[in-house]
This record gives sequence, structure tokens and C-alpha cells, in this order.
Amino acid sequence: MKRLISKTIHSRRRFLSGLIGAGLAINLPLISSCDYSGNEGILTQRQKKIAIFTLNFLWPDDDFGPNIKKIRVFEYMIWMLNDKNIDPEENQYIINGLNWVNETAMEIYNQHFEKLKNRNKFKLIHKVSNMEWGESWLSKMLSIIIEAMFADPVYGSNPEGIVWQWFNHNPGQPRPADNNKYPIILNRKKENIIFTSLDQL
Amino acid sequence: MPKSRKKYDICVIGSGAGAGPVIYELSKAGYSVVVLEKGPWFRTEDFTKDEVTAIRRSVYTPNLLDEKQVIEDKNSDGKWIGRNTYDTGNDFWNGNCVGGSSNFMSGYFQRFKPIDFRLLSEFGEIEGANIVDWPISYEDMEPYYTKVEKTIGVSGRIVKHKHLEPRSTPDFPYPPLAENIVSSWIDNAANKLDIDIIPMPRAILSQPKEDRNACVYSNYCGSYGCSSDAKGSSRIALIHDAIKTGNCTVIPNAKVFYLETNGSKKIIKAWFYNSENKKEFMHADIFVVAAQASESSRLLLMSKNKEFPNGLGNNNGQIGKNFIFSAGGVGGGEFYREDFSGDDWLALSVPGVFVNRTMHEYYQFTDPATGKRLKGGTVDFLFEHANAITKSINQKWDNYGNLKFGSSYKKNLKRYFTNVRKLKFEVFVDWLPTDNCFVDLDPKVKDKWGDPVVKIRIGNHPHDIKVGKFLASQGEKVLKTMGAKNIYSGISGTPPPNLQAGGCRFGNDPETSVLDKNCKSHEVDNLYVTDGSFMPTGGSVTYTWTIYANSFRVADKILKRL
Repeated sequence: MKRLISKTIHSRRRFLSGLIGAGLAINLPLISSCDYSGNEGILTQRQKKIAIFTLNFLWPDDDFGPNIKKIRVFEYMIWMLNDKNIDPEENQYIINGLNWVNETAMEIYNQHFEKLKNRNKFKLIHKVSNMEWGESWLSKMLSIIIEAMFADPVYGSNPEGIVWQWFNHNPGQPRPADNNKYPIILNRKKENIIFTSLDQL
Repeated sequence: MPKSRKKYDICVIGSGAGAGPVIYELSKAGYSVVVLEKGPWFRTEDFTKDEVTAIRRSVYTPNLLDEKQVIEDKNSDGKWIGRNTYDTGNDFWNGNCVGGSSNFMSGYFQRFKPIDFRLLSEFGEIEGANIVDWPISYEDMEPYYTKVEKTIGVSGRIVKHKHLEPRSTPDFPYPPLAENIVSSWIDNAANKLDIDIIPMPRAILSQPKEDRNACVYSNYCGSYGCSSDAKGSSRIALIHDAIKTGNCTVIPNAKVFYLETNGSKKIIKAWFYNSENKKEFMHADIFVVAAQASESSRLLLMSKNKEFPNGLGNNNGQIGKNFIFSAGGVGGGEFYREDFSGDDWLALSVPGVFVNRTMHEYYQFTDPATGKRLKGGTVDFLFEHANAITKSINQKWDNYGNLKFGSSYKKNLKRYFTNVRKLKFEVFVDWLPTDNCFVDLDPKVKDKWGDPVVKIRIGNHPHDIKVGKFLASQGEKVLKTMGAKNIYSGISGTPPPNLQAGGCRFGNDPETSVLDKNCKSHEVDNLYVTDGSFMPTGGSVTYTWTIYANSFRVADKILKRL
């Protein structure tokens, strides 16, 4: 598998000093409500709320292009987290980051993430973005957004190619279909065929 | 109990550019050929333009959790530190499937030039570099370059220039592919600068050839399998025809891990893990190894026995030494919509059609500092790849290495996609072989079968950087003359994983080379190595055409022997 992050995961705790009181002037874009459906059992309700907030923090709904909900980024992320072909450590890193955000909320505000006012949630994620572990984790979250945006609609995000249209991006042809998309195509690696004729292809 | 199968005349390990010509020629000549390919057989209809499959997941390459490699690089203290690719994410695998990485090449096809076969004689020794002349000349290879043009299918247009290599035919068998307007702008810049920039030949059909279609200009070529069969992969251009003879058997998902000898310095069996990870072996009279350079050396080093305690054919300790890459650096510049008329911008924005220009002015040049004649290289021009995910991920860091996000990132990305066209260049120097670029078995890290993985030390020679910087500055001049903005270049000693060679260099002296001039092992009479491993030096262009040509040449030698 391709590893999208370095395995060296920074310890969050090294970066937790001196966080309270750093004033931030932040515009607060609208956050979409948490009404997603799908196989989300891999995340707790708290993790889910942190994930959705973070995705919207990174790609805000500011009336400029499709938003996280329309792109179906969270659904794509859940699909990735359930993909057994991706390195389990890599997916666990994403989930760990969700937990670390909540730990940081407890240490700074003495409240769980979901109890924070919206403004403090923004301040919190902004502080996280200035921490070494936080920047690395947010970078990974942003990569998930980007992948969901430009992935073929066959993977459940980017419905009807709305992101492609907005970016004036031409996807290559032929596009993947249900019979040759990932991870179906990995079945070729299990074939036990001795080829002596092209008819076998 | 391991299974054995019937005995074949030839057993070929691997199926990429170094293997295909041998498979093709020997099958056509009526010999029984069996191919043991580590990866699966992807069909043409499997090759969609899906970035998730081709780029973001390990579909065409192994899972790094199962099959790591170790890359040894110098740290800031000057010590060589090996780190496995699972930990770093720095994947060194290429196409592992029938046809190998030739399925995913861009098909920039250029011949080596006569001076590339005699680098030592032409330019002399360089301290710290193990430069030698090849045991064959350009004239020996020329008929096979021509054969590749016809058999694999090379499109292009010959333009006379001062470094044009001798040819036995006046032009390519297929006309050039369609080009973007930017190609004419490059030509204009070359005229202004009075330098040789020539059309880039491609191993891509511009017209149909037998069962293969012409290029459909999908805009997703390099790193993607070809959906029209226009790209000259070993799979579609050679192995399909070999299978049609009825003499060729291909076993995919067959990972060879050991070559067994009979006590008389002759291989009798190739042992492999099948698709169910069970051990089997294959009998043959002649064995041809072409698993891509690093893995070919690894297999030979793993095949130790009493006769060959240091690895098969390695009693002189040369296997894995003098590994080389086709590399040098990259650069680029940007064109902005607001700087162009509507028509020019529309023409520049047309997707799919190619740039196909390469600078040959400085294939050899005079060092302005010393007045000494030096071997230079080439600079290839190309558009930034259309991969939207990769492009966007590259845009998420600012110039200071800080993560960009939020509304400003959205606006920047939107502008980048709709108002910016990036023209890049790639620099190719003659990567010098040194004692600090080699392949070995890692003493600790194992693959999923419990076998030692390859360790590649990727040291480079300072001369490579010097020449690379010179060439990059010339590439920048072209972009500046064209009016590009935000021009940059980066010359690095870190090589790309996909263009590798050496490790089993050929030569006339059995003490200093692994293979003879026909790519037969000096020490093992029925062992040939036909991927890029044989190259003692690597020219200043990508290797694939020369690997194909040499494999055709070796196929002729094997046929004469049989």
C-alpha cells in the first residue's frame, strides 16, 4: 500500500504548553449540521462531531464552491476508515487525531469538544494547527478532503462530478466502473491462472 | 510438497521491458518459454484513468506492509542511514504486473548516443566514479534500436542537430503525436536562444498498429496503464504476440525467490511462491532474469549455495555494485490566464495533446569554469500532470512549509486550476556509478515470505549535481524566454525510483563485471540478465528504449546458441 504519512507520529503532549489565552481573530463560517448517514460505526459520536467540524474548518462553507456536505467528504472518509486494504496504522492515526483534539479541549477548556461553543471550537482547531502533531494530522485530514473532492463519483463522493465542474477539471477517460474500481481490481492479485492463450484474458 | 511442472526451454523471470523482447523472440522462434511474473495480469480494460487506483493506492505496486525496501541515504552528520520504505512512505516499487513498469511509463524514448558507449575514453576518469566503456558500441546496438521503433512502435520526427545519433532509417515509423501550442513557443524560444531543442520521440502510437489503437489523448499517460493500447508496453506490444504463438506460458502472481544450481554451475530450478504463497519450482534449460535492476540483483544475492556462497554468479563480489539512476532534477514555470489573449489561453489549456520537446544542445558541453569538455545531458519539457488530487495536495503547503487551508486555500486552488498552466522540465544527467550507490540484502528487514528485502544505497557523485545545475539553468532560460513566471528548479541527488539500472554490469573482464558482453553471467553458463542491470553507465536519457533494444540483442545471442 502507499503510505500517505510518515509512520513517525508526533506525540501530542509535547506541544500542549502555553495554549490558553492566545487570542485569535477568526471568521466563523457556517458549519453544516451532523446529519450524515452511512456505516459510521468505526467512529464514536464524539469522534464523528470532531471529524465533521474539522473537515468544515479546513474547507469552510463560505459560499465559494461545493461544501463538505455536498461533496460527501465525511462519507468518503468513513469509506476510507473501513477499507481493510489501507494500512491500519494509517487509519488509526486519523482516529487518534480525533481523540487528541478532544484531549486538547479538555486540557485547555476543561470541557469535551462537543460542549464547546462554536467560537472556541474554532480557536481550538486553530491552536491545533500550530502544533507539530496538529499540523501533520490536519494535513492528513485535508488530503482526505482533496481525495474525496477529485475522486470519481463511483467512490461515493463528488456526486455527478460537482467538484470537477467547479474546478473546470477534465477527468480522464475511461473512468472507473463498478467492475474495475478499487478495491475490486485488487482481485487480480489473487488470480491463480496459467495463461497460454489470450482467450483466457 | 512443492509442485513441479514440465521443463521449458527458457524460463524468464519478470515481464517488463527487459524481459519482453526475449519472450517475444524465443516464442516466435518456436521455443517453449515460461514467464514467472511476480505481479498480476491487468487487462487493458482494467486500465481506467482513476487517480485513486493508479496513484493513491497500492494497486500496481506491492503493499508496503508486506514488502518493504530499505533506502540508505546520508544524514546531516555524513553517516549512511537505512530506513525502510514502510516507515518513510518513500515507495521505491514500480509496476509489479505483467508488462512491468513499461505499462506505466510516459514513453519518452531516446536512443543513447555513440559517446555514451565509451564514456571513459571520451571524457576520462573522474575521481570517485567507476566509469568504464561499454563492451559493445553504438553500432552493435543500432539495428535493435531500429527494431524497437518498428516492433514497440515509436512516433516522432527526426530533426538534424549536432548531437543526432547515426540512424539506419531516415525517420520514425510513426508520425509525431499531436502537440499543444506551447511546443511552438518552445521552438521559438530555442530559435531566439540559438540552441537545439528537438521533438521528443514517444513509444506511443500515433496511428493504429495491428490490434493496437492509436493514442486517444486521454491526458493521463505517465503512471497510468494505457486504455487504447497505443503505449508500447511489453505486455501489449510483445507478450500478447508471444502468447499467440502457442509457445509461451505466463504465470502471474509467481514470486521467484531462489535459483537452484546443480553443483556444476548450472541453474536447474527457479523456485517461486505462487498466488497462494505456496512454494513451487520450474525447470528450464536457460534462465533469464529481468525483474527490474534492484530486484534482479536481490534475487541473485539471495540464491546462495556452496558453489556461490556470496550469491549466484557473485564469486567476484560484483553483484549489486555500481547501481545508477536516470535523474538530475526538475524545474518549471507558470503561465497565467490574464497574460494571454482568449484564443492563446484556450489553445494552451487544451488537455491531452503533448509538449514533446527535449533540449539536446548540451549533451556534451564545455565547462565555462575550466574550459574542459564535459558530458552533459538533456532537459525534457512537459506539462504538470493532470492528476487533480496530487496537484491539490502539492498546493497545500506554502513556501515556508506551513499548511494552507480554509477560504484562502480554496481561492488559491480554484485559481490554480482555472488560471494557471504549469510547464515543467526534467533534467537527465549521466548519473555516475560510485561505491556509494549499490544494492545489497538488508540484514534485518524481511518481506512477508520471510526473505531479506533489498537495501539500496542512493549516494550520488558531486559531478552529477554540478552538471544538473548547469542544465537546469539552461531550462530556466528557455522558460524565461517564453515569458513564463514563477520559474524555479531544484537539483537533487535523490533519485527517482522508477529509472534504475546497473548492479550487474556487463564487461569483458570477469573480475570486474557480472555479465559478459552478451549479458550472460561470467560464472553461470545458463543465466542471462536482460533488464537495465547490465548498464555500466546510463547515458543522459531515460533507459527504457535501450533496455528494450538490448533485450532484443540478447535474444538474438540466445537464439544463436540454441
